[in-house]
Formats: sequence, structure tokens, C-alpha cells
Amino acid sequence: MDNINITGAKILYTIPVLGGIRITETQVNSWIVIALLFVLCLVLTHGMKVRGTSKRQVVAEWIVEQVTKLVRENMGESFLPYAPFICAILGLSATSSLTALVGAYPPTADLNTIAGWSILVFSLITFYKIKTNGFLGYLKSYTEPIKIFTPFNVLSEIGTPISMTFRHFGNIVSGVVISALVYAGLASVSTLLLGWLPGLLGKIPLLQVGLPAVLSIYFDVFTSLMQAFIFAMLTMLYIGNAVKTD
Amino acid sequence: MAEYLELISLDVWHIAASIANLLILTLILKKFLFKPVQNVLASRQNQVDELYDAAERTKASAEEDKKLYAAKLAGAAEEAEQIVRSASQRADRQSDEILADAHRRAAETMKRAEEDIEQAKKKAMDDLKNEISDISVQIAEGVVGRELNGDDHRQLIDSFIEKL
Repeated sequence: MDNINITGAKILYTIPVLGGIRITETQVNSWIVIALLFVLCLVLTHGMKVRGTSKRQVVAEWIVEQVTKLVRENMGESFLPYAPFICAILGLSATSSLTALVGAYPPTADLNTIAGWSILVFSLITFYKIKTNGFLGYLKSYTEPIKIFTPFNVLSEIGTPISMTFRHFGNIVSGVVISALVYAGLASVSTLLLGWLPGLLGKIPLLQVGLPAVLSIYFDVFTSLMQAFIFAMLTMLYIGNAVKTD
Repeated sequence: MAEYLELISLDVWHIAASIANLLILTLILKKFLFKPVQNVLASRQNQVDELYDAAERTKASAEEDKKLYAAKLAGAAEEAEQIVRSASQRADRQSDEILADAHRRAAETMKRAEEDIEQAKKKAMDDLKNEISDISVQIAEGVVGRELNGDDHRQLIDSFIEKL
């Protein structure tokens, strides 16, 4: 078990400008995911008809209607233009995490990815709070219910994006880490138990078959979809709450 | 050996790239998924609305037709009644006329017949009177044996008969 090495994304290339912009697996895989989703959109919406819908169109309509419904229920009618944004969070998060299934490095296991999303969501929350209450009202909201609460209010405000980031990041990374540990562990146990077998047979880590697949269903599929949904839900609730005046 | 990032590391460019990626995907989804699907949904809604409108219009016009025909039917019944009534009135009037005419003619005929009878009776009476007076004169001539002055006696007898 000496060769377990848990790291971040692999650096593929460094653009030698502005102190070096590193292109990592995260970037490349994100682009692949976006390209995949783009192609999926084109395929699903290709040749749509008003009557006599195809299965692809049913899927496309289902996605749009479900996301629209979600946005309407959690954010209200006035936020319906946000449906594509929420859909993008859901799609990008879920698909990025699911790339682990094919052995690729999931971009959501990179803290920078989630941090970017959280910062964007936090900006939107702050924008809507200021827009609703005015700048002074926004500042004043930190001193409520009494002035002594100000530091805690500031903390809780900053805590929002940080907790969103680490919730998502932690869940995906824990999956990656546990998968790596289990894989390596099973390889050692396999060598230990079956290493006496002659020739190549002893080198095949037979125990790696089975258990990782079950774990993968939980960590890669379930957690991926769950975290995507949670992140989208929190985004909707926070932004939706930002426009509520109390 | 390839270089790796630290497991937990922050990089401004990577964060910026992530934000950009999310925004780009948002735009892609908006333009290539939401717009087309919403267009289709909207036009389907329009079609449904149109169908409903057309159905409503058809129903309304059918109701109108129904009302119209009901009115026409009622009018026709009234007209028929009118026709029957006027026909029967005319028939009544004609029969009255015919009856009156018949009555009148019958009365005329009766009257003429009565006149005829009266005349005949009068003539018969006159004839009888003349006969009687002639016979009386003859009898008296026979009894008296001589000829009486016919005219004198006839006058006498006539006045006698008048007194009868």
C-alpha cells in the first residue's frame, strides 16, 4: 500500500503567460463535459415537432419542464429566466462527477471548480440582496437583530459559499479517496492471498472485481446526482430568499 | 513523472475558468435546449388554444342555429294555425253566405208561391162569384119566369154575396 498517492488534477500544460496558467485535467474534462452536454442538447432538440413527438423530444421537454417547475417552486415565477442556469449547475455538476465512472478525473473533485460556482452563486445572492433592500439596507441587515450580532452575520454570510463549496467538494473527493484506498487495499490483499499462484495468475488482482463496482454505484452515481441536486437546491433557495424582504 | 496539483489548492485562473464554464454552459442550455423546447411548448399551447377557440365558436354558432330553427319552427306552427284559422273563417263566412242566399231564395220562392196561390184563389173566387151570380140570375129567371134586368140584379146579387 505504499504507492497510494492522492493528489489533485494532473497538470497537462502550462501556458507561459501571466506567471503561468496551468491547464489541468479539470479544464480539459470540463470542456469535454460541456461539449458532451452541447451535443446532447443538439441531439435531443433535433427535429422537434409540435405534434407527434419523438422519444428524444419527450426527454428534452421533460428536462425543461422539470427544471422550470423546480425553479418556479423554489424561487418563484419572476426567476424563471434562471432555469437554464439551474439546469447548467445540475448538468455540469452531475456529468462532471459521473466522469469518474469511465475512470477520468472528475472536475468536481477539483476545489477550484466548485469554488468558482459558489463564488458566482454568492455574487448573485449579494446582488439580489442589495437590489431588494438597497445598499444601506443590505449593510443594515448585518446588524440585525442587534448590533452585537454583526460579526456572526458576516461569518454566516461568508460561510454560505464556503459551506456550499466544501459540501460538494468533500463528497466527491471522499468518493475518489475511498475508491483509491479500497482499490489499493484490495490489490494488496489479492497479492497476499493469491500471490502464490504461479506465473501471471498471481499478479491478477482478482479481489478488485466486484466490490469497487458496488462502491462506485454509491460514490460515483448516487453521490454525484445527490450533490448536483443539493447544490442546485441551495442555489435556488439562497437566491430566492435574497429577494424576500422581512 | 507528471505534475499534479495539490488535493486542496486554489488557483485564480482555475476559479475564473470554472465560472466561465458554468456561464458558457448556461448560455448553451438556454439557446440550444430551453429556447427550442419552450418554442415548441408555446406553439403547442397556441394550437391547443386555437382548437379550443374553434370548438367554442362552433358550439356558439350551433347554439345560434338551434335557436334560429326553434324560432322558425315556432313561427311555422303559428303560421299553420293562422292559415287554418283564416281558412275556417272563410269557410264559415262562405257557408253563412250560402245559407243566407238559400234562405233568401226559399223565402222569395215561398212568397211568389203564396202570391200565385193568392191570385189563383182570388181568380177562383171571382170566377165562382160570377158563376154564382150567373146561376142565381138564371135560377131567379127560371123562378120568376121572366127576364130580369141582368145588370141590376147582378149588382144586387154581388152586394149580397159581399155580405156573405
